[in-house]
Formats: sequence, C-alpha cells, structure tokens
Amino acid sequence: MFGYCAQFFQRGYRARHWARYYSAAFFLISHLIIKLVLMTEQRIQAAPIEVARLLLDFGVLLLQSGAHTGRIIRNLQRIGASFDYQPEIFVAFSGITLTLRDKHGIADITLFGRVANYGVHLATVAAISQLSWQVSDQPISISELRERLYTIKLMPHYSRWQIIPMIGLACGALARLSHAPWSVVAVAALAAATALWLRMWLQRHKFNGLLVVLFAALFATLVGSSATLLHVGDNSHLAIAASVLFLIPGVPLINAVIDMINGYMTMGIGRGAAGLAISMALAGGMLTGMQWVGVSI
Amino acid sequence: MTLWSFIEAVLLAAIVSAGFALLFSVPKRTLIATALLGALGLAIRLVLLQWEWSLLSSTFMAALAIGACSMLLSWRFHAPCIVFSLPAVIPMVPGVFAFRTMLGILEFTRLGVLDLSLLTQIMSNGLNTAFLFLCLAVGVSLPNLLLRGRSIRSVFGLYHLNQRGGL
Repeated sequence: MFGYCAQFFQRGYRARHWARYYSAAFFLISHLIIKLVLMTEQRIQAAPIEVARLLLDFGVLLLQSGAHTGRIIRNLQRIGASFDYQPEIFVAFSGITLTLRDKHGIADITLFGRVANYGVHLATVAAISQLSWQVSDQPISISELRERLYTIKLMPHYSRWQIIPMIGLACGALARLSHAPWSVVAVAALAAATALWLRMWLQRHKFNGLLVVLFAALFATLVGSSATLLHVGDNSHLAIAASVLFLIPGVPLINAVIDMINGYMTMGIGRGAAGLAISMALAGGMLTGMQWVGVSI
Repeated sequence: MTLWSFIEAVLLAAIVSAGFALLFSVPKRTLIATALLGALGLAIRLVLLQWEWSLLSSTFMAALAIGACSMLLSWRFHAPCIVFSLPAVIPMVPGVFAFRTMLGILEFTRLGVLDLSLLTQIMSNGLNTAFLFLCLAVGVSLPNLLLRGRSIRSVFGLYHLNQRGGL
C-alpha cells in the first residue's frame, strides 16, 4: 500500500495506472472507517478476575443492605454487561456464588462471597441501583467503579439522635392509631425510644442478633407495662403492643414473599425462616417481661 | 368517624412512615415522599373501611395502591420501589392482633383446660395477623409483577438506554 502511495507522490497521476491509485485510496479510507467504527463500539476491557471480584463485592453489599434476590441479579448483570461479561449468580442465605462467562459463553471464573450480617440500609440499595443504570448507559472503568463502591460503602446511617426520637414518636403514633389515650401514647413512645437505645447499644457490642431483639423486647415490655401498673388510662396494654413494633422483621418477611413470588425459593425460605426466628425472639422477650411484671391483660 | 379523627389518623400515619424510613436509612431526598405515601395508604384503608369493606380487603387494596404509587415514585426519584413501599405499609402492620394472639396462647397454656371461646379467639387473631401480613406483602409486590420482570424505566422509556444491559 505504501508503495502505491510513494508512486503517486513521485510520478503524479498517470492515466494507465488509475486502477492502482484508486484501489490504494480505497484501502486507506475503508481502513480508517472500520477503525473509527470499532473505536466507538469498543467496550471497556478488564480482566475477568477483577470484574468477578467487583461484581461479588457489589452483590454482597446489596444482600447485606436488604435488596431482594431479583434486584441483586439484575443489578449485577447490568454492571457485568458493561464489561461484555455475563454473570451467572446463585444467591444463598450465607453468601453469593458468581460465575463469569465471556461473550462466547465460556465460563471463565467462579467466586464465592460470604455475607456476614444482615442489616437494612435502603440508601445503599438505591445508590447501587442508580450506579448500575449509569454504567449501562455509559461504561465506567473498573478502578473508578471500585472508588464508587467504597464511597457507597461509607454511606452513614442517620444519626442515633435523629432515629431514636423519631421511632419514639412513630411507636406512639401507632398506639394512637389503635385508639389509645394520650397518656398511654406517651408511655409507648418512651418505651420504644429507650428500647431502641438499648438495642443500638447491644448491637454496638456485637451481641447475637436474636439476643438483641429479645432483650430489647423485654426492656420495652418492662417500660411499657408501667402504663398498666400506674393505671395511666384505658387500653393500657397498647403501650406494650405498640412499643415493640419497631422490632418486627418487616424487611426479611416482605423480601421473603417477593423472592418466593419471583421463584427464588431457597432464598425466600431462608429469609422467611430468619424473619420467623426474629419474631420468636420478640415474642419470647415480651412473654418474659410480662411474666416478671405479672401484667395480666 | 369524624373528619378530625380521619385527619389525625392520616397525620399519625405520616409520622410512623417517616420514623421507620429513618430506621431503614432511606435516602434523604425521598423522605417526604415516603411519609406522604404512608399517609395515602392509611387514608385509602380508612375510606374503604368506612364504605364497609372488610379489614382484609381494604388493607389489600391500600397495599396495592402503595405498590403502584411506589413504582411511579421510584421512576421519578431514581430509587428502588422498596424504599417507598416498605416504610409506607408499616402503619398498617397488625401489631395488636399479634399481641392478642400471644396473650391468648399464654392464657391457654396457663389454664390447661379446653376453653373453646379462648381457642377461637386465638385462631381468629392468629389468622388475622397472618393474612393481614400476607395481604401487605403480596399487595405491595403485585404491581411489580405486572411488569413481568422488566424495570419501570423500560416501560416509561424516559432514559436512552443501552439495550445490551440485561433488561
């Protein structure tokens, strides 16, 4: 090709060589066009092991923050597709197994990530979901995605002094919704706020999750039963009933139903069993408290 | 039911939803929407109860409405549905039924004789608790199922999306 070009510049245009010159120009231009098209279509390249580790970290974070199984799988597939990989994901209660395939369907690598503790942090779920949409619109390099992951991991909960009064108010409002008089509402709010404070204290000291719920329910019952003991008003049992409501495992139970509807049976059963165990701990704490105080309602 | 007690209940529901939204760490920008959705759900349930619907069916309809609205809000606020729907159903959780069931079981254990009225109470309260919970969970997730596994954005088509992205 360069030979043709050199000829062109040295001798100028000659009629009997027109076919050669045109073919050389054609080769050059078509080569450039193909190159341009490839450049615009190019995805970000990354090693499969790095992509697999990144996806696994995202998946574990989602599972820890209370996303349901279908959402985890959809988000990871969206992020994986931006690197031209196809993840196959199995979500179990103890962790996530992930197999990464390339676009030819060849399995490259399989990793497992363990999930230590389940909590609820919906802002994390929202942030990862948003990131996955952004990535599927415009691919981001793997190092930048890692940085985003770290910033998402560092997202704080609301501060204790915001949550505790608001949960006190909320449990008081729940008592009021069941037609309790305002004096009982006040006791319910106090019981819920102090029990939540105790629960946070126990959680910070790394107690077993079920024990935390049991002790918090016990404490809420003890404080709430003072409404009956001091005869503050009618329907005083509502102080106990409402003050433990912040402990109900709403997220695991609703996620269990959603997972089962979507066909992730093992995960649905696992979450349902976890929710049931928390409910049992809650009931146990309340029963113990009522036995101690001897409140018969 | 007077208008004032209706307004009071709706305001209380908003407070409950906001409190549990804080507990679940929802994003700050969606807090107000979550509280309003909780108020809307309880308002629907109260109105339906006023029209002499049963407790179960009115709760189910309210949960359905919450599920549908949470999908619209999730499209508007770029956040998952559960951010809105989960705190919003908390004011309707059957806490008192569960409490009465537990007390009944405790009393039944203490008595140790077959008291049919007590047993009936336990069964009725327990089944109410279970079905109300199921109504809430299914009602909230049912509108999502009608999308058949697609995302809300693929239906409304707001964004230019790369269709390779596993939708």
